[in-house]
Amino acid sequence: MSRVVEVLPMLVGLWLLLVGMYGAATTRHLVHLVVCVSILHSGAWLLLLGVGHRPGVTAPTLDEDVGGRVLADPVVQALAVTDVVVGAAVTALLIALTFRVKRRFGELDPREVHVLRG
Amino acid sequence: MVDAAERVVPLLVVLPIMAAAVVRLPNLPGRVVAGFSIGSSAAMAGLALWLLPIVIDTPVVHVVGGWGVREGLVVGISLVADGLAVGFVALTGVLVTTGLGYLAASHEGHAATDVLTLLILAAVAGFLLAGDIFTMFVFMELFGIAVYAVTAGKVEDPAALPAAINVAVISTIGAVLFLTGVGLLYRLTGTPNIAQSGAVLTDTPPHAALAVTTALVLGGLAVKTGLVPFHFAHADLHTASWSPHAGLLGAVMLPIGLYGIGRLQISVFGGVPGLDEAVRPVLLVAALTTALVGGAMALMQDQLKRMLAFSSISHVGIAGVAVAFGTASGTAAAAVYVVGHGFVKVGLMLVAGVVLHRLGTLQLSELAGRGREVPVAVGLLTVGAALLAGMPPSGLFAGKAVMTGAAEELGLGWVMPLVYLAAVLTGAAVARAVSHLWFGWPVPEDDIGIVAEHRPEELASRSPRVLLALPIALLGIGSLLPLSGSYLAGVGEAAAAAVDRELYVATVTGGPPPEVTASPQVEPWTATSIAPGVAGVVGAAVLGPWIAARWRREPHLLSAPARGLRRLHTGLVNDQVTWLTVGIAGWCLWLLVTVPAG
Repeated sequence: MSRVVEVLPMLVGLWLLLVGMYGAATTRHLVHLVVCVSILHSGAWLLLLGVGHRPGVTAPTLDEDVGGRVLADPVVQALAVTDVVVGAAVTALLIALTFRVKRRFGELDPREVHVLRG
Repeated sequence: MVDAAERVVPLLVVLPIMAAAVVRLPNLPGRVVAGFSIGSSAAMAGLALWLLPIVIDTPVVHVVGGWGVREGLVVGISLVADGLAVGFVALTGVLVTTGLGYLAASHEGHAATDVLTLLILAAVAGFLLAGDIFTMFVFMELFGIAVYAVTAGKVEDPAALPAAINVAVISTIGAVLFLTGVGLLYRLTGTPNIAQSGAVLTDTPPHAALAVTTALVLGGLAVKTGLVPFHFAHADLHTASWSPHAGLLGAVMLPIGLYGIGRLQISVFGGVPGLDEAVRPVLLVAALTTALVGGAMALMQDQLKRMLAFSSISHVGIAGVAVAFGTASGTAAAAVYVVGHGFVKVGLMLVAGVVLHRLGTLQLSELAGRGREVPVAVGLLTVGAALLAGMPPSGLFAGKAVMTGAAEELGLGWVMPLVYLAAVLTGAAVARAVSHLWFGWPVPEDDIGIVAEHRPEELASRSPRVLLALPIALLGIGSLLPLSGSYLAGVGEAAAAAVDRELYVATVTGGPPPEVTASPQVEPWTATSIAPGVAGVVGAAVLGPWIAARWRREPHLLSAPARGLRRLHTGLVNDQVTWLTVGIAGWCLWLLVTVPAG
């Protein structure tokens, strides 16, 4: 069981990274593209949390008695939380840009916007 | 002195952030905003320049919040100010100050441009000084977001939005891959601190997990650097951004990726036996391809800013070749080259901005023959073409001269002709533009490329003097700086310290400093270096006008491979993600195969 808990987040995280890349490479819709980038981010968070996990650990909160149990590594959790913020900022920005593309070009398919080539 | 220096280090990051907050106050008159931004950026550059000689002697570490080394572990976020980092911060400060000066004089930009530019400055400084790999990531994302936002805010430019989306997606994927690498590295070493993870990894046998970690960390940075095949989105971004930002992107934002690669490659992974030997070839091949592809693409562009964008990519590739050497003299060569290129590229982008203000377009087909209306700008472009081709005594010449010595030390002399060729191509590209501008040779219709651009409605009948004075000063500094012996000696010392992993570890962990290693001789003035330098300028001066003149007679001169190369640049975000995937997979596979299994 503990082996599964250790390996599963890594595998799912890797899966999310690959799925996100595949989606971003093939999408025909900018909103879908933004979702793919979010999925990529989630993959990285899961990998980070998996890195900090050890068998039998508990949440790294020090305000209550943890009864001598080992804590999960708080450093990677801090890293993940920081990247959640970064991810939110990037998603918000991309959504705003998508909105403007729709207003300006009347299109949400990146293939239909011809402005830079060659 | 060192005490005061230690207290100044965090100011390099904090000062521009505070200034950005002040500038955002509501209802400030435009003049106050501009003056305050320029003043704070100049103050930051001044602090960095004051700090530079001190930290070249002794690197200084500031641990934020008074943390430090506890029981042999580095706790907290450390800022490591060594010669290379602070030198780069000073370069950024000076270039951002001129960029802000240009924005103020030309009335380009929108309400948030100054704020975002100051944030970019702060984030670049934070990235360069970061002593741990996660802080590097955070600042990398901060300047990333500021760059996308500043470009996307250029609402009147049709290319700005798609370009900002392309680079936001590509850079974010690069950053996520980097972060994944950071997580894996943390699992292997138990610390995000660069010095400490370097110490943990020293002399450990390499294995597959370490190979993948290295590929993700360095490959993620390569995405930020715009090495082939990660360069597509960067070319689009530089084309569409404001002129000073386009210059800064090529001068600073791409090379700091190289700085990250060099620093982590040496300080984190450098101690693992066999890993260094595996990474260097992949970096060398990527950088050399970037230099040549960038040069060839620059030569085939029919829009001035896009031409300069590919030229930036090519020159970053050239500096990357020197970084791939991994030696003190290679690092010194890269530093001299990046400084030289930085001044020249920002200068040329500002000239492009002036041309746009005066003539209303940057398409060569429409500019043909109109150069006589802007003689000073054409003169500056001519000088810039010679500088990009490597005219002595510019930093681009001196960097390649030092690089030649560094390559011969490693038995890699064969790369130098290719490096010179790439530089000649970028010089020839600008020389070609000058020929069209001045002689009026028509540019044949382009059936491959599209560069949508904003055309200002009101054209300036004459440019304010300051708009031309800024590029003149930048080109002047870029070409004359290597004449200073103390500058070259300082770069040599900084480079020797930067490649010394034991010194870096000792500086951060407070151990006894190792014996000082000898600095490399940074001596570009040799009989064997001046000849290729001059030959490069002559080559560009012949090739550029020759191509311009030949295109006049034979519009379909472009050969099939050249057309194919251009067709690859679709400007489509999907294709760019595909290339990114291919590139990262290539890095991972290469390292998995070549890293010896421990």
